[in-house]
Amino acid sequence: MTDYQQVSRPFLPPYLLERIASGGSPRLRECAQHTLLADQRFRARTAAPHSPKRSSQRGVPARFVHSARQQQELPGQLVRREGDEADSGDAAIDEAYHGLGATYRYFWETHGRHSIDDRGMALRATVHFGRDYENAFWDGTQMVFGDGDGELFNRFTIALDIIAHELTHGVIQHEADLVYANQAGALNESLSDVFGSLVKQYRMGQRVEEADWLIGEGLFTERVEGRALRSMADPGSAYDDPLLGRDPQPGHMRDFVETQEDNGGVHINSGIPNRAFHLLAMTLGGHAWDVAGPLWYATLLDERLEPESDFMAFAALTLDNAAQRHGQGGREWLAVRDAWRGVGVAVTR
Amino acid sequence: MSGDVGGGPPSLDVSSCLSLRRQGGIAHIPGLAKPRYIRCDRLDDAQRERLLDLLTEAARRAAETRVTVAADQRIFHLAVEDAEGRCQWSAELDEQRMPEELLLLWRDREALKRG
Repeated sequence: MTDYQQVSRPFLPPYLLERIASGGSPRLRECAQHTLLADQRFRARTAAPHSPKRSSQRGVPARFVHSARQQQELPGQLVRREGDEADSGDAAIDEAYHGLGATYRYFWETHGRHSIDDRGMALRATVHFGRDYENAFWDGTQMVFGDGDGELFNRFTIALDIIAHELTHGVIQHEADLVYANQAGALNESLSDVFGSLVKQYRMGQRVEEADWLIGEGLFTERVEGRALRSMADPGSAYDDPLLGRDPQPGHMRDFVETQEDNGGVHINSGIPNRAFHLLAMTLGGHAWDVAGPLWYATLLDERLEPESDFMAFAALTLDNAAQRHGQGGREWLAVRDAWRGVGVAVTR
Repeated sequence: MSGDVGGGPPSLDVSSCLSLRRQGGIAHIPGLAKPRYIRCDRLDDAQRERLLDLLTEAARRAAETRVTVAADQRIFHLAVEDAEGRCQWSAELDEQRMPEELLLLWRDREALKRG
């Protein structure tokens, strides 16, 4: 028998336990009622999804921001739509709206991509999802952002790269559709980090040496000993906190983590291709969206990239795309080869 | 339903232990991915009965819908162990399918310290 987890620092107000016993307590009744309602709503959403109107004009997004109002109902109430230019005064709503716009603009201006599906798909996001909800996700049709618990995590719209990360999951779903497990899943995660960081760098006009190469900078509250969720430049160094533990990402294949957790380590081993991209960008210099970003984007769209492709397969395709675009043996090709070698992924051609 | 032992949860006695493990999310954070335990020897009869009701509801929901494997979404793994640590029952649910009271149990570290 294992004992309960001892923790050094409580991070949420005490609730329950006695309350779960007393079936007649007002709190319990409220919980039960809430659960029942949430369950009914969940089924309703599953049964009747509908998509908002797509953008018919290339170069122009169609943004729809909803608020779940601390419930877990999707998509929630529409609170800001394309063309509502005045800020609402609600930070999460406005950050989501502008973050979606910045991400759309990056993909359009650097890759000529018209939204998630390249056919003007509406960009739908829900903010204020759940109560103290410390996560953001892509549910297959839209982005969802929690407000954080205020103790460890701030609201998830605070970081532009997180918004772009979630939107990129949609792009991946419409292209290579990488399976969300093991190395293919880690590539899925890495691509979302790469484009998340590129969107942020593009928005800020940063050269590679000016970028922080962090994912989720600003998400942690000041109570956490950490800079961000992940570091592309130095995987494994983003946080080291008594409660959260230590950033588990490796930056080299020799430290690859074999695990059943996290869908086979999709958020863990993504540190390896993340670092490969960082090495490439730093070698090339300038703006990462000029050469390195387009190479990764071309590989994402490459028909040879399969749903279950592994690091080696992805690396080989980046090298091939570098050869096609810049010539085999040229500076860019050598930089791609050396970036993968730098993380222990041997690519030959 | 997925997991080692499906179906409905077993009756809970003082030697039973429930483990709650959250997986997934936008990052794998070791400190938040560890299982959290509820020892039944720290619950009275009424609490154990209520906990069993919650697990029965979780089992019903798990049987209705398979877990979703989608980008950054979270799932919960529930397991009941006996006195020897053997798994008697387990289930996996999407976070949005979890009964709210079980979510609160996962979150409420202070409550787990009382017994």
